[in-house]
Amino acid sequence: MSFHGLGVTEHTQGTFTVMLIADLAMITGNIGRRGVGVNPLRGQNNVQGTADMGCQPHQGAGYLDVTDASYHQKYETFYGAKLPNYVGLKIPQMYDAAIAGKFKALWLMGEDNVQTDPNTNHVKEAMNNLELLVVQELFMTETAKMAHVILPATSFLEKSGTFTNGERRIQRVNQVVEPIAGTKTDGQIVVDIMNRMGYEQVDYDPKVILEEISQIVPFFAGVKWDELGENGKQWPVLEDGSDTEILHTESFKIGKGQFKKATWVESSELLDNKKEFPFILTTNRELEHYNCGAQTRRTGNADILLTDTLMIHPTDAANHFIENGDMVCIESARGKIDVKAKITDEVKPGILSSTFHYPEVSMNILTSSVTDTDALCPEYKVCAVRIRKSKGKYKLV
Amino acid sequence: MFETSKPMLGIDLNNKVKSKTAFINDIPYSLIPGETILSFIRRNLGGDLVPTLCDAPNLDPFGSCRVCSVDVALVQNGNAKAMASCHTPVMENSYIYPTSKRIQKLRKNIIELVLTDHPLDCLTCEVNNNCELQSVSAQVGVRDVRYPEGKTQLDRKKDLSHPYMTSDMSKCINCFRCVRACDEVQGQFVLSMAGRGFDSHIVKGTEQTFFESDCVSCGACAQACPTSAISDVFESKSIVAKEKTRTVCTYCGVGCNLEVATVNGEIKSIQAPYNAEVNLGHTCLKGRYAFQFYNHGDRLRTPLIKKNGEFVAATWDEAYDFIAHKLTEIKANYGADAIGGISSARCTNEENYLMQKFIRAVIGTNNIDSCARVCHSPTALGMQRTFGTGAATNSVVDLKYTDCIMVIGANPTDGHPVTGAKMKQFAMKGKPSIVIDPRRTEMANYATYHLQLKPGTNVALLNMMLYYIISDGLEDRQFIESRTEGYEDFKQHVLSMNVDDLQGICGVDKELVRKAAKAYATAPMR
Repeated sequence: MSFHGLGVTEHTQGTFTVMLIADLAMITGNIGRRGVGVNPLRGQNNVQGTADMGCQPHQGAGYLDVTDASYHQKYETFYGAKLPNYVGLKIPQMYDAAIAGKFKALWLMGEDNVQTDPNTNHVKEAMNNLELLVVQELFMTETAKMAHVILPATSFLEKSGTFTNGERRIQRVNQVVEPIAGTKTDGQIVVDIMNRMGYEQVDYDPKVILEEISQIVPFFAGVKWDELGENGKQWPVLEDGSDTEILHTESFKIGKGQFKKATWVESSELLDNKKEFPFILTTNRELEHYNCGAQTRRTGNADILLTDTLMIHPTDAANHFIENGDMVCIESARGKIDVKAKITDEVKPGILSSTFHYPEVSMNILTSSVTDTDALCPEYKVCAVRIRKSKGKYKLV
Repeated sequence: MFETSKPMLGIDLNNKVKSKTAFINDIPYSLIPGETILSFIRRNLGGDLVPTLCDAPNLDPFGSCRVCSVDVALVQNGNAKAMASCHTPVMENSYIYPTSKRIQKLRKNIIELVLTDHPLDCLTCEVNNNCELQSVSAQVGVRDVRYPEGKTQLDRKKDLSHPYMTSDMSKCINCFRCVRACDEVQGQFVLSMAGRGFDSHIVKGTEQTFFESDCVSCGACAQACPTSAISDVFESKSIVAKEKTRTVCTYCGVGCNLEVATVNGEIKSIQAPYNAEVNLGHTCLKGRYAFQFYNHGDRLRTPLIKKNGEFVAATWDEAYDFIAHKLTEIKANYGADAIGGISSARCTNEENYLMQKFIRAVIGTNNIDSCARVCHSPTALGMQRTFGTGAATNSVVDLKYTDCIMVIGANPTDGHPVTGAKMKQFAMKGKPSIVIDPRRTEMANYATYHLQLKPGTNVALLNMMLYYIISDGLEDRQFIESRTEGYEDFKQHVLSMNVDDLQGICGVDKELVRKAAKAYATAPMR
């Protein structure tokens, strides 16, 4: 049974690595029955659902190809609108297009791209080039600060709907408290603007929207709000309401499983920069904080873990006269930042690792715009850097 | 099959399968082989008949408090022996008397002894009216304590060192539930019992405070503790919070179910429901304790429009008008493709659906993406190309049934704590586990094989594993033949590689890789 995370995907060869993991499962017959399989550990509560619902430029709700004539027709009829039949921009392409002056307006629903996307300065340059940046947010994040309009949204505790977890389980989110005064659910905000721009859309009610989703997303065919129960259902949910614990039991979705080859190539980040920046910085997470930390830094968790730390091997630390707790200046081809050192043999010599939970540190100033060749997922896990003990205002006294 | 002319309670007469029976108060009931006397009684007669203290829904049977004792005889009304029902398997044809006179006397005496060393300050206690000791004591009918006051627990000091976890060990009844929760559920081994006999007491780490110890604040011990000996700053076990709403956690992709308690419209605490299939009464410090952000003073409470570089408060109408006007203008000047949206994995399915519908149907562009781009977009693509579906093929519950786990580029004990805890339990039982990671993560410490590769060399390492599986003849030929395509070409490609080169690229000893590949390939079939 294999499990994989962002250490697989956030690389130049992310897609190829995933295909090799699938190859390993197929070559050993470890697929299609209990206790085996390929199991991505989805990072966020509803990242599975976000893609399922069609928030990607090449596939609409239910992963149907937007360039396929019959699916295009199906979507146009279903939405009652004229739709483009060519693939849209992925996030890194949006930034590039904005910098090139071709992309003018961006609507962000609940994401702090400035802190969490790689190569912060590049992201900021793109945002600065926009004529309109709308941000739906809970807090004044690094991204919200750059917006032209901020719309105050509600947290999961103040709304209802469904989340789909990493094992395809659609579970009910039930509103616990009334929305904080002055805020609206993200769903209602989108509905409001749709109506304001002349498209008739009924108010946000998860039961009604879920009904609509079940008519267009094939594997949601039998999903009904009232039938999800306490433990939810795992898609595909057939029309009779039965769900699916294990995929590919009899045959694969595409019939026969496809073996895919891959040959290792070195990341261009290292090829271009390793002479000048000999260390490899990789990124990780700590238990206490969640990604940009907008939520967890505003809880008692911040009293347990106070800042980002850089893991460094004792040999490397000694060579650079760095002691435990010293501030270290890390520099990549993009920029430099200062962060506190934690000397540990959890990493090998030559390898550094750090979280990016704190905007004060802004670790992603360092990371590069190199992406996975096929899916354009940024390469957070390999960044060529050099280090020295911090000077000036970051020097510890 | 059980032959009888009289219909019996608890037995399905239509069930022709041979079923074994045992008797409760001389009435026969069918038993499930291997179940304990306690579960046998509770399944047939409900949860209230036999009181328990050291038993908990998500912990293994332990048998330390003996409150659950029942009389068991081999023949009807025969010589009976008191047995702790929670950890004694039910025996076929045995006669169980759960409430005999002498058992009632025994239970009462046990509780009396516990109370000699427990402060009787119930009215001011955090768990007053929601205390298991209190209810068991009421159930067995203790009216006075005939023994002199004990001196072991009463003077123990409170530990308020931690942002979340609290303890007041004067309330401890040595039931071991916290220790077992820490060991069996989380696998952290922070809590243990020190001292012997009357001096037995719970310690954290090496007699440290919660804050100094290796505690990961999952709260499993607080939820397991039947008294207020271990609790948390939210007083999650306090009876005050009667209104409870079940929902799903907003943090990682595990999807823990949470039971959120509110008082007068404010969130008081969060517990993990035992009947949740995903998390079985467990969750982590983010799910259980990190909810205070929701009404934090920093929450944005009004739409804001930037004017001359400063944010100015606006009404919703003003904000919508501003946006609608601007979007229409941009669309007219540059076309719909100059506009795009980025959706959020933090939002619901319904909201995400609406967001892409807005961008596609109202704006008229396919420029819609989400943070899946920066995390698992290669997973979706890679698995679509190989299998046809870009989602997990199995469920986390399969960890109970698997014979080998391989964790690649993931740090589940930090990133997916509840699944991580389950994996840790798996690895700690000595079952084959492989971790492929540039860092020695917590899972790597427990794994059979840690392949500590150089970042950016996953492809080289996995090719090595594939090379050894093929060259050592460990492939599943039947599966390859019947379920897949493109194998011959793939095989030639893999075998054409030089393993020594690959070893040099990823920096992992090839023999170690070979062993790990063998472990993965030869895990038994089910």
